Amino acid sequence: MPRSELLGSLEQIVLFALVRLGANAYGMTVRREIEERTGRDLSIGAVYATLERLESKGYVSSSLGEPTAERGGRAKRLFRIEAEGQRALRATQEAMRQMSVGLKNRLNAT
Amino acid sequence: MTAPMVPRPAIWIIGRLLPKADSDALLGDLAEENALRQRSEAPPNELWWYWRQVSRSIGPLLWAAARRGRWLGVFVVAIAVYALITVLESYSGALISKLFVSGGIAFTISSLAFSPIAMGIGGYAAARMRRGSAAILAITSAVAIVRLMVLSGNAVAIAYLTGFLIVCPLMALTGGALGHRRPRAR
Repeated sequence: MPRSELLGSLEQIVLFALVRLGANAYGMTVRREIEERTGRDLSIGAVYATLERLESKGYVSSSLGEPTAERGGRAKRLFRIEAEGQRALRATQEAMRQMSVGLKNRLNAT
Repeated sequence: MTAPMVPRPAIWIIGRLLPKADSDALLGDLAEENALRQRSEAPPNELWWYWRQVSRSIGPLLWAAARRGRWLGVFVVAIAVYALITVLESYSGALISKLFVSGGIAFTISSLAFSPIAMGIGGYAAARMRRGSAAILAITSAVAIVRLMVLSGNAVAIAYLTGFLIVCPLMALTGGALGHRRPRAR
């Protein structure tokens, strides 16, 4: 597998959040999903920067939603994972699995 | 439901780092989560949470802006304007020497005033071309002045340059702020 297909840890976490959130994936929900599941308090800017990077790679696409009063009349940018992103996520998970095969005892030893 | 208040400085900062649609979406996300937190049992200091989010977002968004090449243009404009000001300064020195008697009051005032005025106009022009470039211009001029101070080693020159160190970047930023001014949103 080419190295470029391997995702960074934050990219993986954000892509998993998109898969979990489905049609309701936008900056705030992604940030909260990650915080609730991993305890990692990311800034909203870090989430947007990661999503932008994933979009430039073709792993994610986005569209503008409707503005709401709760958001001060500002539209949501909704994100969804693309087939290419799903492939990259699977490939990275598989690479991690292969690298960790047979290491369970050693990792638990310390 | 009333629209949530978004601090104007936050709009300004995020607007400098993201395209309009994205900055609107990000500010909307912050407003929505802030409203959610106010309704929940979250800690009461919501303004602190908001500004913590904005300040922690600056680094990743700056990096993202640099990656998409936006900041390259900003740097190019700032450095080009700075180079133009430096060239004009060298010519202005010769011109002022020809027009006024060296050491006279007119000579002193025009010599002292040229750089800050040029920085103000340069900051304005840079900001009109690329948002954010006035700030880079201010930093560049401050670095150049500090370099001159270190190289001069002369107490009088250092005192004189200290004034420039304050005034020139400030003028560039003021010019930039005027150049950034946009029509009010409808």
